[in-house]
Amino acid sequence: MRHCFGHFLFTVSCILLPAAWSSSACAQNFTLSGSITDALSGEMIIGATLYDQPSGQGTATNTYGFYSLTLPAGEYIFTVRSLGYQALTDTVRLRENGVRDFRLSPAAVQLQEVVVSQAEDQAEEDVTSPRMGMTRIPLRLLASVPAIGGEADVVKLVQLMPGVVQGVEGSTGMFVRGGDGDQNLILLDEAVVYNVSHLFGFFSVFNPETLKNVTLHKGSFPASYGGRLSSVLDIRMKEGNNRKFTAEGGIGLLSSRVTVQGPIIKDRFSFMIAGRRTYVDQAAKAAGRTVPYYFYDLNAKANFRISDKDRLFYSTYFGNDVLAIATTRRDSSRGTDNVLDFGFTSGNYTNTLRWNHIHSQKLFSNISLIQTHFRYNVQGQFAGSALLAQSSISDAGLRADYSWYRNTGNLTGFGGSVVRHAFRPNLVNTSGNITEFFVSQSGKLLSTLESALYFLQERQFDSPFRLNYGLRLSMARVRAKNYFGIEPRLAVSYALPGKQALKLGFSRMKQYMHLLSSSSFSLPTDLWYPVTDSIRPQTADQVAVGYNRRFEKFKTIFTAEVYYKRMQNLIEYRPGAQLLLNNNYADELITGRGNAYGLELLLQKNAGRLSGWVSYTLSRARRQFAQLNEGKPYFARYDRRHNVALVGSFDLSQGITFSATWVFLSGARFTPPVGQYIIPNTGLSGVDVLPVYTARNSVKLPSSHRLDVNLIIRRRPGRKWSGEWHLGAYNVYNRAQPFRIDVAKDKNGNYQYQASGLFGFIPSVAYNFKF
Amino acid sequence: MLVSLTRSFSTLEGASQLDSLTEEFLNKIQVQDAVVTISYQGKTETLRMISPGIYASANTLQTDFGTYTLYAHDPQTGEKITAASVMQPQVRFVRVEPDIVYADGEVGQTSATPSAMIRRCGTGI
Repeated sequence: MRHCFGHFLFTVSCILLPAAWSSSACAQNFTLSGSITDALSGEMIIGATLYDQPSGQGTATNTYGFYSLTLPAGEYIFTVRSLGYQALTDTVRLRENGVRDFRLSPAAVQLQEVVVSQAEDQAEEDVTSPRMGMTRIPLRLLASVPAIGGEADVVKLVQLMPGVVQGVEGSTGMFVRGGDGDQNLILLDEAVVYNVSHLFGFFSVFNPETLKNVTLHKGSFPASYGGRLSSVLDIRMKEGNNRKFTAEGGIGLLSSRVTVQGPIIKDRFSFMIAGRRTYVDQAAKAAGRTVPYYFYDLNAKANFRISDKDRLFYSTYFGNDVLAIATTRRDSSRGTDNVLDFGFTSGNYTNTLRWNHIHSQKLFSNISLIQTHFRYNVQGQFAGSALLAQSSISDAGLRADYSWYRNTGNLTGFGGSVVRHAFRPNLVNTSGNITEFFVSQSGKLLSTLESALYFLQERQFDSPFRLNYGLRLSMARVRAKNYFGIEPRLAVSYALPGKQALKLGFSRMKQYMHLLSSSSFSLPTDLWYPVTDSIRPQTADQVAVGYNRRFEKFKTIFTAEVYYKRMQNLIEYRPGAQLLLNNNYADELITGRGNAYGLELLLQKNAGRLSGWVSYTLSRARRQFAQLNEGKPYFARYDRRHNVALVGSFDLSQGITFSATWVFLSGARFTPPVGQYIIPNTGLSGVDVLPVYTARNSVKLPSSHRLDVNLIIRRRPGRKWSGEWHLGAYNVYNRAQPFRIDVAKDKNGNYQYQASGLFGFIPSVAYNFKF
Repeated sequence: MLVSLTRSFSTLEGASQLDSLTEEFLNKIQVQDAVVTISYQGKTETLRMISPGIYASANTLQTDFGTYTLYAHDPQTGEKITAASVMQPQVRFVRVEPDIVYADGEVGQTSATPSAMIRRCGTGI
């Protein structure tokens, strides 16, 4: 009787008190969580969306393919989507907390309507998300976008985004929103990669076939990121197909690569191994010539699902550049032959061991052990003298990240990291006559401890406002000196009618190490150094305002952002600095400040037969150091005022794709000699000629532009293996991209200024295959 | 005190190659018959041209960390310049040990061209 009466009261309250529905037992919320994976390979899908269209409630998977959604009890028709996959619709009756995993099948045929609908939810999220300055790099275009020598390169693709300025033509240098080249945090499965270059910076170390997801952050940085001022390039490798064995690779003019992946235990334990090597040296050897240089990369990954709640990942990268020259010089005065042996090796390796754990349906964690190592060796022998110089940097660290999905539209993140950096610069061993000039030295071991704690909150309100805010507390300890950083982060968006939004963001970033480089090229002698007692951490404050709009009819997104960045404690070399094998490098450094501001415009279409983007950046970056340029402000080296990129890929048919890239860049800044004068030499036996320079970086190189094209011809689908030919051309109209000004003689013997470029027209051909 | 007074010239003059420094070219850039003075500690001394472009004074005292102001006036072109600099202290050599290194590695061959290295020892700059 009491039970019936209680049930009667409950029913009446549900009918008569609709306003209290949401907090009453009738409208209890339940949590649905799980993972979204690739149905064929088992790969977890990052950023896949799960939406109930009638209510508009939904979420997206995190970096590990995990999602969590808290909704009132009821029946929902979820559509699960991700770019490149067929959409999946599933009905879920939510009556209790539950787990539901979804498997998406790759879209075998990229029909226009299928790909377009898949992109909609991602586009919706990008428009309304408070995050600005975040760009998802479209990896599906990586293989089709033209590349120098036919070598697809993710860093070259990133350089085509607004706000990212390329350094020397063809190099992997990135100068983001007026920052310097060492202000980019480049992560490969959470491990920092210190040297991302092969071949003096002309290729990156990232094998394109190993990549799953690449995201560039230029502003509004989440509090989980820190350690660099200007950008974070977060690169995630594939985990390995846990359903079947596959092999894919490519043969090009410069290098070849192969990737093998498959299950060790189906649906539970998988692996991926990839290798890449240049073979110009071997081809030249076969032809009786000598090319004394090569590079190689090895990537490996293992992915083990321990249980429904635990997953273990191990990933590693190992790569090297090797130069080895051996030649004989005749000493005519003595009538003997002297053998000259010279070479260098430089390379990175990284190791990451990660444990994903689902504590509950709302709490997810990732714990990582991370190791990274970069070193170079320079060795030489000549006429009884020998020299070996080594430098290295090693990191060993631990990181923990927690995500608490409190309810729909309310995510809390927190975590921390601690990393020990060990720097060993300038270890030198010499023997023979050369010891007069270079004394053996052990190289001071410098050790720093860098740590951080962070908290972040992502809130979506019932109003058009969305708010992301967070705080990062960072610290670096070097010898007995401690540096602290308080780094607030804020991002707000306001959704306007008609699928558009206004955004505002602020970030403070700290950097506790810097790169000493004496050249515009990436050299093996570029060294990372920590802060010291006298060299303080660099700091950047960046504020940005943005506008996003999605044009449904054309399936494009338009983004406009204006930013201002102010930087403190920037580092430069004092005039006349001697860096070679100098352990007292701190004495050669000076500090100053800088600022940068600009406008970035991006019109992007990621779906359909025609995809690509148009970007334009108008920017300005300046520096000021008391000891340089007489203390007056001057333009940064890569203050390149206008930056335009047109990138397009068009599917002419299922078997043929044509793509093209056109870029325009204002010239970089430099300090040329504009005159000369003579002074008596120290022996008063003659004169020396010395240059007269302009004010620092006061002259701009000529602007440059070029067109690259690529044609892909695919085998007919349906066979056991697929293949495609890539026929491409870099710099189609052979225009020089000036990177310096020289004084050279013309054919009449008169001197003239000459702007030198590096690469002219370069055709390429490559063949990619997949089993 | 010795002062060299020359005109700068364009990088397109090509004289970074020392063999293009002909006598004619040097005559063009060396400033001759200029009025050159050096001022320090309230005194001003006039330097005398001892060869084209080279002006000297035998009496100028060198005071460590003293400020010396140079003034030059070329009457042919009317150009005037001034510059100031601080006199650095003299380098003190504790000991000089020359190493005679013969280009052919042998000692005593008269055809060899000796070159000497003076190793700076002790405290100095």
